[in-house]
Amino acid sequence: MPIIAHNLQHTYSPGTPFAIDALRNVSLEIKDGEIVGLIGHTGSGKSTLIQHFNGLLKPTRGWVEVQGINTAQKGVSLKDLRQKVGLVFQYPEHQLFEENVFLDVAFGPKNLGLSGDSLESRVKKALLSVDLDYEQIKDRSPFELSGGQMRRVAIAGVLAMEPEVLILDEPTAGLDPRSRNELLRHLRQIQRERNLTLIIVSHSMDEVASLVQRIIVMEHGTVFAEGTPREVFARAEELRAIGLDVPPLTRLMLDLKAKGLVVATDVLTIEEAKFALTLWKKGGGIDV
Amino acid sequence: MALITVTDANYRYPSSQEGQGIQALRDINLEIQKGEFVVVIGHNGSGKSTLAKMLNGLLLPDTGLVLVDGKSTADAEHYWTIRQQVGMVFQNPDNQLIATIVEEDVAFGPENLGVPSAQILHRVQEALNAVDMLKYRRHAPHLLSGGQKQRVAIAGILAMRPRCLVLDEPTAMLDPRGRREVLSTVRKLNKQEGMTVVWITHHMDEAAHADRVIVMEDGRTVLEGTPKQVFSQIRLLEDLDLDVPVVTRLGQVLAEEGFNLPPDILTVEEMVKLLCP
Repeated sequence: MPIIAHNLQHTYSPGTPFAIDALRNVSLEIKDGEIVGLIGHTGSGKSTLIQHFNGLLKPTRGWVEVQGINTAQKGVSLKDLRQKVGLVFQYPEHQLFEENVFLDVAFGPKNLGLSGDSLESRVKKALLSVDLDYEQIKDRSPFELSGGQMRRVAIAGVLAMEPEVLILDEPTAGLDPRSRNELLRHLRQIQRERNLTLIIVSHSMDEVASLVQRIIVMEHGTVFAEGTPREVFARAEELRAIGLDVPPLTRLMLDLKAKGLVVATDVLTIEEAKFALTLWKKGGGIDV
Repeated sequence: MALITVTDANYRYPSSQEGQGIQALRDINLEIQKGEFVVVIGHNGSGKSTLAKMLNGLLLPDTGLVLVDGKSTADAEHYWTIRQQVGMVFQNPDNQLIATIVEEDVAFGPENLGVPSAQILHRVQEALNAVDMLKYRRHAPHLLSGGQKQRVAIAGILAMRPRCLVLDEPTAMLDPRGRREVLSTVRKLNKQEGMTVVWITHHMDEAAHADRVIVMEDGRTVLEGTPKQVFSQIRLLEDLDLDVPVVTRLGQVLAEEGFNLPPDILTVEEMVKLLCP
């Protein structure tokens, strides 16, 4: 079932001098099994929006329906909703707390009432999904792992709830390039294996470009742009005007076009850039 | 003369359990010249942060020597001089700000150095001005953006009048706007005030403007040179799982296709200039 936001409005501290409209009339739909990138500056409303998706926040106006559950309806089971929608916050490793990895990952499913073999197999499966060896890691303290491993344990803790929707807020922030690339690879695989709806919040266009099917750009609490990465980056000028980065190759092609070169600008990969530039060269581009 | 000289430095973190501990630095030799902008890149665990902590004596080498302006960091007599001369900025801005008002936070360092209060006021203004945060001097630090907080942290160091800034992943927790703010602030200090800078990062694009780039892996320096020299070694960097600027990679791919392009293009601007002279 899709996630639907309809004329969603969220105001922090309403009725006080500090009232801030964090979301204004946001309407959008995210389909089952879709991979979506949510992009925008700090303060653009991204984090507020995802907190509506598992009922941590309630709409000031409008409504949100997630997996068939209207989050604002009275008597609705938020516990069910939160099991279906896993939310991984920024720096999730700060939320590790148990004395060993097994107990930390098991915490959620245990609260769902699992125990014994079924609990163990859940934990095993979750750790496997993030490429951690169960036998090797289960008894270790989460605090003596590397930063990248800690983050994967924290994500495993959410996966162990077997959510239908997985939302990650800046999953790669602060990771080194190696851990970042590994994590992105794992997320891609997890999405495929479990057919999850995956929503990734990021500052980096470049990073989401390779991962997602659709990008939603937020600005000042509204949806500023929406579409496939190619469609969104085609509006590079507008994105740059609101201070967002576009991938360097897109920027290169746009700058070349501005200089009068006849080249395609909807370029995302090195292969595509190579193709566009060789084509231009063959077509009688100046001899470089 | 070099401002900082590291000679044959080794360091092993003591182990909490019975094991061997972790050898974090192996035979490091390094000179940092006055006024230089040096970027250190490498993975987590490669020894970058350990090296940073060596530069002002927060850690002392097990064997080998670190000299700051000719004084050994192991010499207790020079502790305070060295820490005043080599200031450190860390990753998380929230862990570095302690006062409830920006200007009080910046005054903390010089107060501890025993600077007379009339001078402190002057130093605080000067430092906040240098990071373009003077108009926030009466603000509460916790209400600032990440980039603004990091700039206040830098001002806190500047108020101690250091000769060198060591920044350990200062942009890792910032959004793109904050990253740009902090990078341009530090570049300005380097260019205009001649501040020596050691900048540790995972972001390769922050390395493009350095005077020198040092790549660390497994406690050693494995590659060192100008950004162009370092980033043209695509194969080696990829073997280390490090990022290479995508434009550099495209340049080399195009060269194979018969384009007359050098292997060390670092920025989009350069590439545009070469393709449309």
